[in-house]
Amino acid sequence: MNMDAPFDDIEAMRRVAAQDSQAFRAIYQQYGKLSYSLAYRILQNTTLAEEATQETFLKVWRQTARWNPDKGSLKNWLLAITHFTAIDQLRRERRQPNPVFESIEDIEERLPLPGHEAGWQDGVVLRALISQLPPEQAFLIDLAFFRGMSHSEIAGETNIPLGTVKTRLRTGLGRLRELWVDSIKQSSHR
Amino acid sequence: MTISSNHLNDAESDCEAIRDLIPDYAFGLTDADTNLRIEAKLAGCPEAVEQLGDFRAMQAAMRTNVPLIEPSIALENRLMAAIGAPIVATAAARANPATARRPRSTWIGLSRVAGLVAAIAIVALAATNLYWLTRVNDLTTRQEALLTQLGGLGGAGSNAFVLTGTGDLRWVRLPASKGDETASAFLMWNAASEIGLMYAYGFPALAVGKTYQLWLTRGEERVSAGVFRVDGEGKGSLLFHVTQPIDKYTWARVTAEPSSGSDTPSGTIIAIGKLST
Repeated sequence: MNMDAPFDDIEAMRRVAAQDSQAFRAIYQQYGKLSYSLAYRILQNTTLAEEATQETFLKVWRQTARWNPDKGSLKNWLLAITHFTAIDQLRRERRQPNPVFESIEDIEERLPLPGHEAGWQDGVVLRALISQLPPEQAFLIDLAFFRGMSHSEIAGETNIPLGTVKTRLRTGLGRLRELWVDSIKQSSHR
Repeated sequence: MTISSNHLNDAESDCEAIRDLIPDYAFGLTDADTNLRIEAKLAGCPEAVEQLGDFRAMQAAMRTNVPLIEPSIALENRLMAAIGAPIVATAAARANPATARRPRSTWIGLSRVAGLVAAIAIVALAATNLYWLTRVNDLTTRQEALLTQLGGLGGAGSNAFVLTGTGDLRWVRLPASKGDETASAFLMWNAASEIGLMYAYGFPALAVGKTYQLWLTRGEERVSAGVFRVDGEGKGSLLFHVTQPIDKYTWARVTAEPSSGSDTPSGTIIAIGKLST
């Protein structure tokens, strides 16, 4: 693979589908660090994060055909697999029921629509937007998204009444979406 | 074919209900039955589809924007071994060929047992070095990520995300010192820093000339983490910095003090909680 050329996801995955291990290595070298960093963000443990990253890439190796470039970028697909794999691992570690990730086929439904994909700059914008939320709302959003906790698990963990957890999360997510939509409108007017 | 106004109203009402559920649905907070109900109606509710698309894009952005940490070289090798690919020489082995190659001539004449023990020792040493090298890199990267975030963000509202955006987040609840009171506080901090965030709620309004003060204590030591006020609903927050890692302290407490703050706790304890065992 020519390392000077822009990384070609489709070509790399075509070769991985033909069991080309060097193409697989190239995909790992392109996205492995991001996948590991997300897994670490969720699991906060280097060993578990490595296990989740390894599991993610092995799923890719075994189920290459599941990725549809028309439905989303390889990066977002890989990170969504990483996310749900890590959350399931976290739930296993805590002996919590109800895995969130039953099949790699579920992933497609959880990706942004083509043309609405997030780039690095969107992550920076989103972080700034979250900083505009009241801390108690940002904190609960973090627990729901990066710890995969349900309403009742958050209530149990934080000793906040269940109704308050639901209200704060819904209010926070609603407000975050408003800010997100406004920021997109503003950037498209520039 | 005409559609009755009742049907239209039903459809609008269904879509309104679906829209209300979308934030929870997008974040996996709805149960299986609710998910089925949403998925059955979603296609007929364009606004809900658009709303869900926004949340999916936001989630993708959240996944992308995490502090970057370099995985160990061993992970790539394990992964390639798992798919049956040949392992290439690692950067560590190239940098230190002595650990990658085993000298042959010096071992001639030694017993096989001694050779085996020495080989195990070399492998163990190399593995230990690699482990600690990885840990040091890991900690350095996390520290840099934390500093970058602290430098790049401002405002009290951003602090929770700064703290939760890094590894080793810890938090404790500081319940009211008296069981029948509603005051409560959360303390969040990162194990790698001396910076924390306290969020208070349900605190009683104070008399004029009084303020709340947060203290961290260890044995006889009492360190002020700062003063704060609460709004009409009893909510307040405080970003604080102390000279020692917060993990070193045993207790946190909030007291009511004169408005300029005190050198040592003197007022009523409002909330108190243990930081470590």
